[in-house]
Order: sequence, then C-alpha cells, then structure tokens
Amino acid sequence: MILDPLIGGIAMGCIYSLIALGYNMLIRAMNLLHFAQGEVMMVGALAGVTLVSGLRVPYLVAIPVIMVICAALSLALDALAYRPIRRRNVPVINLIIATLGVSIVLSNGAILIWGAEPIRYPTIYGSGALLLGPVRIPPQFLAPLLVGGGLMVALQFFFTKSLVGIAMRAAAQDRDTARLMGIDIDRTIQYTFAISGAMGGAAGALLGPIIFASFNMGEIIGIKAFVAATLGGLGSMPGAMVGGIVFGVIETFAALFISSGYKDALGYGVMIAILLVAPSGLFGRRARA
Amino acid sequence: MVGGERGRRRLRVLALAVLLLALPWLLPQRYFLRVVDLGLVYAVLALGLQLLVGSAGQLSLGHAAFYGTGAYTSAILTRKLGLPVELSFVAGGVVAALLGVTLVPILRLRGNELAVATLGFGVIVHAIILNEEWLTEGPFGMMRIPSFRLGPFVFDNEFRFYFLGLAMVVLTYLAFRRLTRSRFGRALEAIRQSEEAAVTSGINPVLYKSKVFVIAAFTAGLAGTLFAHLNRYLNPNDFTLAESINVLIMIVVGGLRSLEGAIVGAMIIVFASEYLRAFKEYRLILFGVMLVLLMALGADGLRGLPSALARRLHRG
Amino acid sequence: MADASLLRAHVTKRFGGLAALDAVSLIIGAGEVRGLIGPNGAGKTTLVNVLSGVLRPTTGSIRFGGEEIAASPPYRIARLGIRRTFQTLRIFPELSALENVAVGYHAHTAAETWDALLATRRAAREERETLEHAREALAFVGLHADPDLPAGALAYGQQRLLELARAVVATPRLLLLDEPAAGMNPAECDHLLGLIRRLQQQGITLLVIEHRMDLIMEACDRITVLNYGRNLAEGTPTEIQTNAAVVEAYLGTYERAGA
Repeated sequence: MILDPLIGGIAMGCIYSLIALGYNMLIRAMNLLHFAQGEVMMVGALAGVTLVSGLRVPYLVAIPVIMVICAALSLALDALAYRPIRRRNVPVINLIIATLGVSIVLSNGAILIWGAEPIRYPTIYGSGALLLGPVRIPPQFLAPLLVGGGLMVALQFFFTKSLVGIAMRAAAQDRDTARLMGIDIDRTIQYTFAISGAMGGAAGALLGPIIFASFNMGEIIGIKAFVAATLGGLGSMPGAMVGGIVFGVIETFAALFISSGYKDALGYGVMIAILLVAPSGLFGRRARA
Repeated sequence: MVGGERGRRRLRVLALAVLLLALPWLLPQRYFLRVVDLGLVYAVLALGLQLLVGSAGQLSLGHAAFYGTGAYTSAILTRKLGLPVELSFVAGGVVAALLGVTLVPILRLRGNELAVATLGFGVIVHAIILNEEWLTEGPFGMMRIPSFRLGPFVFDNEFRFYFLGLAMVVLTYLAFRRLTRSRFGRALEAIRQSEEAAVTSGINPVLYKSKVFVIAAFTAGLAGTLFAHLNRYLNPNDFTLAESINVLIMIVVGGLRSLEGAIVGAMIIVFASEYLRAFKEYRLILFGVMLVLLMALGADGLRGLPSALARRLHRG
Repeated sequence: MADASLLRAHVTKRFGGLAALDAVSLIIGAGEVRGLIGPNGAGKTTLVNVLSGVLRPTTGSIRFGGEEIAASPPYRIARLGIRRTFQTLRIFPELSALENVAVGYHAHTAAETWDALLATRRAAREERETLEHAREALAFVGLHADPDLPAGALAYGQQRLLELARAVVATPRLLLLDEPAAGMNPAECDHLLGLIRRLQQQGITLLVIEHRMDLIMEACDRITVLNYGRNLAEGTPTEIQTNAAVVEAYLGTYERAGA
C-alpha cells in the first residue's frame, strides 16, 4: 500500500527537516556551512541511549533534555572553535574546514565514549499503532511527525512573533543596520547556534528508535539533511522544512524501486536536477534577478 | 630584478633541484620514501584543486570522483583490456576531464549550492564505482594492477616511482604557474575577487569556471592513475567524500592562494596521517583538533604561522 | 526615419511586487553626454544595472546600436561596447593597479589556455599590447601611483580613477558612470569634468548618474530625471533647472505647504 511508506517517508523527512533547519539558520545568519551539525545530532542520539537505557529516564522526558544538551554543545563549539576563528577575519572556507575538524573530533570522541558498535534503543513503544482511517502510523513514526511538526511550527512562531526571533532575522539580513538598531550580533549568533543545536538534538532523539545510534550517524544522515536543505533552498526556513520532507519521501520510495546500492545516490541526483532548474533550490532567492 | 637577485634565485632553485633529486638516498628508510611517493601523488591532486578553489574560487566537494575515475579508468584499461600503461595513463586524465565536462551545467550555481552539488556528484560517482562490479570489482577492490612503465623503464618500486612522481609534480606545477601568470589566470583572479566587475569588463564567467573545472578534473584523473599504478590495488573506499575533504584540507593548510602551498600541504597531511597512526583512536581526534587550530591561521595556512606568532609575541 | 540614437531603452523592472523601474524610457544619441538624476531610490542605479546586464528587465527592450540586448548576459553587453563604473567600488583588491586595468582590455584579446601553456608568441604579443593600453589608460585618468601596487592599497580617490581607467581602456561606445564624483573634493571634481569632456571628444557616449548638480549641469548635454521609478522630465540643463516638477521632487512639498 502506498500510504505506509509515505508515512515513513514523511516521518523521516521531518527528522531531516529539523537538521536542515539547523543548517539553514547558520547559513542565513553567517553564510556558514556547518558540517558538524550532523555530529551534534549524533551526540543527541547517543546521549539519548545513555539517558533512556542507562539512567532510565522516560523517553518523552529525555527528548527535551537531549535538546538542551545539544544546544549547549552547539554553543560550546561556537565559543571554543568558531568564534575565535571568526575573530581572526579568515576566509569563510577556513571556517567551513574548521567545522569539518570539529565533526572529526566529535565522531571520534563518540567512539571513545560509546564505542564503535551501533547501539539499539531499548523498546520504548509497544506494538500498537495509531489508526487514522486507512492510515496506520506506527509510534516511532508518530513521534517525529508530532514532535518534529510541533517544533517546526513553534520555530515559525518564534521567528515571526518573538523579539529575539525577529532580531535574529534582522541580523541575518543586514548585520550592520541591525547593530545600529542596538541588536547584539554576538548574542543573536549564539541564539542561532543554540537553536540549531536543539533542533539537531531533537532529530537525534527521534531518530534513535528508528535506526541504530552510532558514531557515524552524523556523516550519513547529516549529509542527507544537507542535501535536503539545498534542495529546499539554502538559508530558507520553509525550504528546510519542505526540502526535508520531500527528500524523506523520495528516499523511501526510491528504496522500494531501486537497488539498495543506488538509493542514496538518487536523492543527490534529484537535488542536482532541481538545482539545474531552480539554482537556489525550491524556496531560495534566485541569484540573477 | 637586478642581476644579483636573479642570480641568487637561480642558485636557490638549483639547490632545491639537487636536494629533490638526491632525496631518495638521503632518507633513512625505504618506508619514508613510500610516504613521499604518496605525498607526490596527492601533490598533483592538490595542485588541480588549488587552481579550482584557490584561484578560481570554486568550492568543490566531490573532487575524489575525478581522482577515482582516473584511477579506475587506467586500472581497467591495463588490467582488463591489456592496454599499455603509457596510453591508459593519459586516458585516465582524459576520461576524468570528460566527466568534468558533464558537470559544466552546474557551474552556474552560487558558491554554497555549487559545493553541495559537487558533493552529491561525488557520492553518485562513488556509488557507481561501488556497485558496478562487472566493471570495477566493486567492494572487493581491484588487484594486481600493473606498475607504471615508460618503454623499457618499469617503475615498480618506491625508488623508481619517486622520480616519476617528482616529474609529474614539477610538470604540473610549472604548467599551472604559466597558466596563473597569463591572461587566463588574470581572468580567474578577476572572477574570484569580484565577479560583477569581471563580467562587466567582458569576461565570461561560466566559460572560465568550466575550463578550470575541466583542467582540475584532468589533473585529478592523472593523479588517480599515478595512484593506481603506485598502490596497484584500488578500493572504492579510497574515493569517498572523506577523500575529497582530505584534499581540500591539504590546500587550505598549505595556503589557499598558492601553488607551492598545495604541494607543501599535501606533504604535510600525508606525513601527519602516517605519524598519527601511532596514536590509534586518538589519532583522528588529534587530527581534528589540529585542523581547527590551523584554520585560525588565515588564508595563508601554515605559511602564515611565522607572522601570526610574531603578532602574538608583540601583543603579549 | 534614420535612427541616430545609440541607445533606445524602454524597460520595467520589478522586484516581487515593487516596480523599481516602471516603463522607464531612455534614448541617447551617439556622442551625447547624458545626465541621470533623481532623488534617492528613484531607480538610477537599477537602470544602469539593467543596461549593463547585471539585472534582467522584467519587460521591455533595450536596443544598442540597433541590436536588442535586453536578454544578453553582462559579459556580452560589455563586449558590445557598454562599460560601467560602480557606485560602491568594485575593483580587484589583490591585483595590481595595472592588472586591474588590464582586465578591462580582456575582451580585445584572445590568448587562452593553450597559448598560456605553450607560451606562444601570440600570448606574449597580446600581453604587451594589453599592458601598453593599460598604462595609457592610467595616464589618461591621471592616476600616477605605482602601477604595481595592489589596488587595495590605493587611496579611495585613486581607486575611483582606477575603476574609470578599467572602464575606458577598451574604448567603449557607451560609458555608464554611477556617481563618479562621490567623495571627491572640488579639485578632483574639476579633474573628473575634464576627463568627461575628453572622453566625449574621443567619440564616447556617456551616461552619468550624479547627485553633484554642479558637475551634471556643466558636463551634460541633456539630463534625464527619474522619480519613484518613472520618467519625470528630460531636457537641457537649463530646462531641468527651471522645471518645477523636478525641483519639487527633490525638495518635496514642504515648501508648498509653507508658502
């Protein structure tokens, strides 16, 4: 039936969207390709294992805790690695490579803490599923749909209605003018890192019950989320949300029809095709007006 | 340049040439020469990427695709079709260049989108290498690739390969030096420094980006064939995104804007990777930390280290 | 009717819902020095961006020397003979002053990769020719700084002259100057005026955006006035100076209310 994989695709897509939102926020704010965003998500997933398996924290409580942990991690990365480099007025590619360095440190640090074997989440859900008419939503997909969807809606409200959110958007659009208006740019950048970290953490927490948690999740899933963000439009919030879901659905259906070797490559192929037609992604602003 | 300065420069170049030619006899162990050989292969690869990223300002995250294409092309032609290495060598570069041509349509994309598109391209090519077992032996890897030979000369040990690699690096370096100091190089720099000013002065940006891209792809293909006939074994795992990033790190470490930096950066990273092997698990963590620290050095990479230290001392 | 005009443009440019240019019409005759003035936000720079190909018009047509160029990419328009300077300087900071100007001559030469690699005679000859023209252009605009200094090290006024040199080295047919006198003192302004006159004598047609009215009135044969993305007036300097609508556009209705 077409609906089951569709639900799965949208659920995975919501998770990709959360990570992609983190990417796009940082691109919009500072034109930074944050290659360690996937690793932040990975830390969230593995921290979730420790919380739920080791410390017996209920899963629903663990999710916000993980978000806070990852927000803090993201802030720490900025404070320790990125801000000192930004201060030195280096070309942006240096900063991008620094994020690569950070991702290497995080993924290998994860091996030291959690080992190199993928870890299974304990069974959180029963075997029951939500039935909405003909649609059957298993719980591990329901969580990303609800939590992911909820977070995305909350983020929209945050950016359009809250003072901090509006300040962040202003700083991203025109840094100097925002500064003149009294907006603390360093603070808005910190907020950006914290929120993108929290989104990554949520993604990791939601991903844990679906696939195994392992040190290289960041590389695998992170790159896909990146591609999803590009497809939707780098720097665009709606682009991240739509791109993630589109990518998730394409990937799930591709797995049904295409041999497993190429199913990853298909998503990238679709992205390239979209970029050839819409050079700034689905929601991005076009380069030549 | 005054005669005296030119003479001094000639002397320095001569001294360097003598040093480079004598190097194999100066190293304490064969093992070091093997690492140097690998470094030379990467130097060729890095030079091509430096032209693309440093001079033309195009960020490519899929360069391993061209590297791998060159490697596998030459390997397949020699191992499976029995073609002479002298021919397959060039074929490797040419096929990689043709692959680069297919990517030209994406060169109109803006910086960030271009980076991700090249990343995707790299993954696609890697998937092809991995899955088309009939062609590439897939995940098992391709073995018993013949050594490089030029007529009667067979370059089947580290010693002999060193001179082949050295010649390739020198040739590539000189060729690129000529390119960057020409009208072509000036156009590239103009595009990088202000594309808007360049186009309104009559420079076609897509044309130049395409040419550089194909040149970089060709060079990567050549480096790939060098690798194939040095290592004599190919595995798809050597041509992943991690490898593309590896080469990128080399040119940034050596100094993004300089050809010499690409060569130096390649050597440094290759040696650092070898050296860090001793640290086992911590090896990569150290590498990552080192990377972050190095990125604080600015556009000149390690060449900027002396002046950065000097600034530090003055302030403290 | 024989068309002596070099440029016939009739364009609209929208950004989303906003019309930065609304059916703006501009017809310039060969050899003319045309001024383009208007309050801030009137669309002057947008018009120059559209003419030089940096922006594509939403609708309309631009005929240059009889050829339609509205859909042409900027490098092609430059090769046809339209060159420009920028309101916010766009020089190549890491290239030397001489090389900056040499870039302007790029379209007149053709030595490409093979010529460079093989160091052909053509490459050497073209390079000599390019650098010679570049030196002439630097001398013409009166930039006497060391030509091998990186352009980023020059003073602001010198950088402005540099951009002008780059724009004229290839002897354009139409030269678009976007606020060339910004930040100039009276002496520099006079110098600029002299350059504009000499360029006109060489047969180059000019379109000059400026806020400095003294320069505009002195230099220009005719002046086009824009306001809110539309044509407001056009005429000789004297006509424009006495045009009530133009005065009002600049000063607003403030005076009216007071009077």
